[in-house]
This record gives sequence, C-alpha cells and structure tokens, in this order.
Amino acid sequence: MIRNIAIITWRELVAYLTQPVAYVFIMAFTVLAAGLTFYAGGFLDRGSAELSVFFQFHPWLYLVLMPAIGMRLWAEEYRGGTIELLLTLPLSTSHAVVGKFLAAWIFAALALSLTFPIWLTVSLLGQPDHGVIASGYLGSWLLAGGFLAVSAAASAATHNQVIAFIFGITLCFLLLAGGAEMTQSLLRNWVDPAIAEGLANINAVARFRSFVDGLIDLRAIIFFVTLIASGLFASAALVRVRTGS
Amino acid sequence: MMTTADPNPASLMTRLGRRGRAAIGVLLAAIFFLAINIWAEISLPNQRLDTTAEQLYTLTTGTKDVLASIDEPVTLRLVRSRSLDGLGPQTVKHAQRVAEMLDLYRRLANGKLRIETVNVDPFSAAEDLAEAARISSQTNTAGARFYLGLIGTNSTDGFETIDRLSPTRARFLEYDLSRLIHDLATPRKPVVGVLGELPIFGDRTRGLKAFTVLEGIRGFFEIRPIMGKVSAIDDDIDIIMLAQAVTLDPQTLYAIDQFVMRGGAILAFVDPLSEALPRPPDGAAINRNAVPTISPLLWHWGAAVSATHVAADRQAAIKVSVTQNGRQVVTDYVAWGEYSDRRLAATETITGNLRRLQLRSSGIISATGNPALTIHPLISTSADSMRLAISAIEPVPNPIQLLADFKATGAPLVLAARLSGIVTSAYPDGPPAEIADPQIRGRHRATASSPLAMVLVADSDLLSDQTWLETRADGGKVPFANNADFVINALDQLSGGAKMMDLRGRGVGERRLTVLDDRNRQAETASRAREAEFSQAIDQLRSKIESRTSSRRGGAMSVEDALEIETLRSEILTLRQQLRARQFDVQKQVRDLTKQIQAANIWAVPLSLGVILLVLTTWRWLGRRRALKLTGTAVQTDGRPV
Repeated sequence: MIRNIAIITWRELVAYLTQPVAYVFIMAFTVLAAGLTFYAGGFLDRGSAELSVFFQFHPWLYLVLMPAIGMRLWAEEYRGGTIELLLTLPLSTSHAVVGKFLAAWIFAALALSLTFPIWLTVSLLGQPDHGVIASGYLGSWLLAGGFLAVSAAASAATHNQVIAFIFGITLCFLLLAGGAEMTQSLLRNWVDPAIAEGLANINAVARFRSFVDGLIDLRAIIFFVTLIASGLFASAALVRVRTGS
Repeated sequence: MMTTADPNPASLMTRLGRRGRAAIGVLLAAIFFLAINIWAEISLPNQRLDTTAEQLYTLTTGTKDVLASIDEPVTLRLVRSRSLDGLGPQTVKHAQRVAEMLDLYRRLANGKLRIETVNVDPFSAAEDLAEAARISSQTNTAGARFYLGLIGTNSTDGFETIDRLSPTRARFLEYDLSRLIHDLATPRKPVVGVLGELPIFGDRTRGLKAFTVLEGIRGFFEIRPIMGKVSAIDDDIDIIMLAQAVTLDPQTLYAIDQFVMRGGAILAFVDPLSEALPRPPDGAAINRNAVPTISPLLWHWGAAVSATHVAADRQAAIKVSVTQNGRQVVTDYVAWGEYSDRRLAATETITGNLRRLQLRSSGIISATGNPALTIHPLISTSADSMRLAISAIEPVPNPIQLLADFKATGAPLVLAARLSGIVTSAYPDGPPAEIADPQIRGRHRATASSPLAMVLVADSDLLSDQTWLETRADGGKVPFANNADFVINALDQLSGGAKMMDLRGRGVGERRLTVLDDRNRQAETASRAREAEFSQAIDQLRSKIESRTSSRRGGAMSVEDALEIETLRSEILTLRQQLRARQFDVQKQVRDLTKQIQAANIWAVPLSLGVILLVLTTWRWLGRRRALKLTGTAVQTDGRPV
C-alpha cells in the first residue's frame, strides 16, 4: 500500500516540478507572503522579532492558493480522460487519493519553506524564539494540508477546474469564517453562550493561532488531522462515483 | 400489511445510486469531522506542548509551591459577563485563558481550591454581587463594557479580589492569580521593618514631613520602624526595608544577615549619594553614602554597588535650569534620570506595568562573581550612558560642563535589580565577637534556608516626594512618576518570599529586532548631536546680529552693518539647510537598510526561482532541439519540428 502511494506521490511531484506554472505559484506565494508582512503588517515598523505578523496572513493566502493547487488534482484528470489510465494501474482509488494529496502537500511545504528569508532576517536582526517560529511553520503546514484536502474533495466533485476552484474557496472560507466575530455572534444567538464559545474554537483560525503563539495543542492537531482525513474520505467517495469504480 | 427491512444492504446501496452514495460519503466525512472535534473540545484535557523558550504557558514552580501550601480550602469565583458578544476575539480568548488556567490551578491544588463561575447579566443579582465586591466593568477597544474579575474567599472570612482581569495584563495573569491565592492561604498582613537614616517617617523636630510613599505602603503592609542597635530581627517581620542605612553597627548587620539566612526578604535602597538626606541645620557636611555599610553583606552574596561613581544617562537626562553667564539656561542634567519603556524590565512583575521612574544620582549595581547569585535587572540606563565620579557633581554640579564632557561607554548600567539564588552567610565562622548573647550565637545559620528574595536599588532619592510628586496650587499632590508603585510592587512581590519572586511576569512582545533598534537609536543620537552642533553655530550668529542691532539702537545703521547683518542671516539660512541635509542623510541610512531588508525578503526567492526556471526551460529546449537534429528533423526557432 505504502509503495503504491509513494509511486503516485513521486509521479505527481515530478509533474509539479516540471511545470513552469508551479514555479510561478511559488513565486506568487513568496512575494505575497513577504509583501503582506512588510507592507500591510508593517513588520519593520513594529520592530518585533516575532513572526506572528507573517503568519497572520497565511489563512487568507491559503484561502486562494490551496484551492488553486487542489483544483487540478482530479478535475484535470477527468477532463483529460487520464483518470481512466490512472485507474487501470494496479492500485486502489484510496491510494491514488492519498498519493495525489501527499504530492500537493509536499509541494505546499516546499513553497512554505521558501519563505525562509524572513526567519533568517529575524535571526540576524534580533533574538527570536525559534521554538515559536518552528511551531508557527508546523501550524501553517497543517493548515495548508487541511485546505488542500478540502480543495481536493471540491476537485473530485467536478470536471471543471474553475468550478472546483470556486467550490474549494467556498469550503475553505467556511472553515475560516467559523472564527470570525460575526459568526460567533450569530452562534451565540442560537445556542448557549458556553457552547458557542466551545464551538468557536473549532475553526481553522483559532486552531492555527495556537501554533503561532507557540502552543502545540492536542485539540489543534486533532482538528487538522481529522480535517485532512475527512477531505480525503470525501475525495475518495466522489472519485469512485465519477469513475464508477 | 407489514413490511420488513431490506435484509441485503448491497441492494439498498444499489438503489441509492452512485450520486446518493457519494452524498452519504461526503456527509459521513463531515459528521466524522464535527463529532471528533466537538468530543475533543469537551472531553480532552488541556494537553499542550509549550514551545516557547521561556515556557510562557507552563506554570512555574512558584505557583505549584503556592498551590501545594494551601492548608484551608480557598474558593475562587470567576465573575464574568454571561455574553461576551461584541467584545472581539482578544477579550474572548483572554476570558477562555483565565478559565483554563483556573481549571489547571484547581487540578494542582489537591482539592483545596474550589472554582465557581458567576455569569453576570445586566441588572441581575450577579451584577449586584460583582458591584459589591468592587469588580469593575471594563471597556474593550471597541468601547463595549464587560465584567471579568475574581473574588477569592478562605475559611476565615478572608476576602481578596482582582477587580479586573484585563487582557492588557495577560502576561501577569499567573502572577495575579497566584498572588491572590497566596494572600488567602496566608491571611496575615505582611510586616515590613524599616531601618535607615532616610527620614521617611518625617522629623517633627526638624519640620520634615513623612514621605508620601509611606501612605501607599501602609495600605498593604504593617510598617514597623527598627531603631537603634538590633541583635536579632523579630520573627514576625517578613521584609526588611533598608532606607539608606548609612551607619549600621556590627550587631545589626549580623542580624540582617541572619534574617536573610532564615528566609527573610529584603528591599535595600543603597545609594552612594543620597540627595534626600537632609543637611543638618548648621549646614555641616554629612555622610550621604550608604554603600560601604552594607557592602560586606552584598559582596559576600555576589553583588556590589559603586561607592564612588553614579550613573549618567544622556538619553534619560532630566532638564534643569542653571545660571550661565548671568542667564538662566535650561539644560540636561545627566546625573538625574527619568527611565521609561525599555529601561524598565518589561518581563518583571515589579516593573512590567510601570510607565516611568525618576532617580537622582543613582549608583551602579554589578556582580562580584558569585555563580550562585543571579541579578535580574529592573531599571537600567541606555547604552548612551557613563559612570560619573561623585567628585564631579559634589558639592555643586555643573550640568552644562557634564554634558560637554560626556563620553558614553556604550553599555547599559544596572540601577535596580532583583537578586535570586542560594546564598551563604557573610559570617561563615559564626557570629562576630560583638554578639555576646549565647541564644543568638546558638541560632547561627551558615546557609540560607530558601533562595534569596531581595530587591536592590542603588538610589534612595526615588523614595522622596520631589522625585515623583508634584504639589498643585491647591495643595493637592499629583504623581508624575511611578516611584511609589515601584516600591509597593517590590514589597508586594517580596512578601510572597522566594515563591512569588520566581513568578516573573512572562510576556510576549519583548523580543525586539535589536539591530534595527540600535541603528535607529544611533541615527537619532547622531541627528541630535548635529542639531546641537548647528544650533550652537546658529546661536552665535544670532547673537552677532543682536549685538550689531543693539549697538545701533536709536541711531541709524551704517551700510557696512546692514550688509554684515544680511551676510550673517544668509549664513544662518545656509547652516539650517545644511542641518536639514545632514539629518536627511542620517535618516536615509536607516531607510536604505529597511529597504534592502524588504527587497531581500520579497524578491530574493522569486528571482532565484525565475533564474532556475529560465535555465530549465533553455536546457529542455536545447535538449529537444539536439534530439530532433540527430533524427534529421528540421526544427523551428522554438525547438519544435517544422
């Protein structure tokens, strides 16, 4: 099983890295991440050796960029008819789903790791808390994984990449909106405030925030792992329906 | 007619169709995700890995000791608005953090701590309870009001409150909670024994009023003056406050040493030049240096205060009015300092919430190399400071000359510090010969029973009203510095002994981009220096114009004079332009640095990737072209076959 998944992951990863569009994606991500940090976040004006300003934009960057990666995972295979070829290989749908997701997630990790100049900058200009920064990066990668899994499910639901992209953004937005004050306020009108406060924690921003603060919370890990697992489960179910397997 | 359920699930799935099965799959995935996370939120304990270097989210041993020391049950009531609607994520998060922390306290207190939550609705009985307990309603940044406070009670009707658990004091939350529990677990009002020459209790014979700082201390502590020779400090004294003890006989010094060995806390104001010590009516010179007296103890424990030098800080200098050449001039007096922001340790509970402190001719604290002692600076000068010989400011200082002769050493100097560590008695061979009492000799301790709890301040003038209080025309006194708060905070922390001393305020936001800060500061200093240089030249030109104009007052001005004045004015204009240009140059260096940092961060990776992409594309194109040529196929310029 692991071998099958590894083969698919490798095939997909090589496909990513040989396409110019992947490089353009990484370039866009690194420019936006650093640009927002320095201009919108006023990073140098604050003079703080923390990267919370840098990480605070990640959920919103991923809101657009992860569905952009995820949209082609299955929709492109349906449209090009390569799905038939893929499923003639001696591997199950689940292996293909996990393999494709892992390749996309590793690619996202590559993009994220290329934001290293900001870590280097705070290390050269001050004495940052490296544990907190490492925790922030881990949280960011898990967040990217959660959004990718959801976007993969959106992609598996349609053969049209644009629809997959819009659908992916909508689902990711729902995961983010749970933490917004407006949503929490609405929630408090419907249920007991104590329950509303508990539910307010079950959203991507709140869970990601604890990593940025330097806290690796077991509940946050569970949140992202179950989000990825659910996204992949839904993807597999949708791919099976589409391919009749 | 009765129907039976389809025994074959496969046929049910077939009837559902592929779309139905997909919908069920997606729905199951969503239910699984929500169910697991709701269960985790409700049932899972608060299991967290704290990755911060200072373990910001982990309870200190000080708190654990406080919780373990509770004998009689303590009840804490968390008073909070039922609805935190509209208060913003920061406040809601803080309220959750308070609740989580209280829950953690409860679990560590072995059943001796009860936690209750009082939800406050507008105009409810709970609101009356909050008001009666003086829990203040707070206003968040958006202007919304809410209650978030704590009422603590013990089995002997002891009553303590935290009137507001504000998000702005989030980093001191652990200290505030542990302090309250500590006070309830040990309900006696701490006793502060005061000894020293500083007339903080006033002196009717000399018409001296008691220091106002004493009123503040009395609100929280019982104050007991210690007079004359003392061979042993009373057991019920918790803290000794040394207020510029210029003369201490050997017995008293030994008594202080043994007090510390028995776990007593000490707040020492040890000033090499106390300006607050009043001169005798006959104007005779007096000893105003308390350093030599206490030095034997301090040296042994591992700290020292300069006896011959005071700290001078150009950035913190206070403006004073002096007479120069018969004129009143306002200038910086570098031996007096107002310390704020980064000069006060942000992570220490004593100074973390203070805005500014004023000190006068403060001494300098240093370590003497005892590895067992740790010095935690509370008040420090900037790097733009120097050690100033007391002879340079005694008997009458010349602030203008001091400023002209100023040479910064480039390193900050410590003016007040918290000392911690296990120390030994300065009398390792037993009590000094002066102690004859066999009972006292028999009680001698060579090592401390608990870690040292001491705050050392190399200035005593901060206690006097002149350094922090302004008397208004109506006789009312208004503080302009937090000197009294500093003293109360220090006593407050010391009264908890070593347990509370460990509980520093641990905060977020203190790590700075120091290189950038230093560059900004250097630019500011250079800019100021140039400004002073040019201002002097401009002043000289102005006085020349003045002298030309005044010499001709009442009479007609000659053409030569008029021309010279015009020349001088144009020189002033040129100088001003040069000053602006120089200042712009200085600031430009900092701006250039920040631009370079921004450019490197934003463009270095994308440009490198662009180059890689270009190389890869070219390489592939060349490879394809070569392959087609080998097969004899004609190729276009883009490498594709014709």
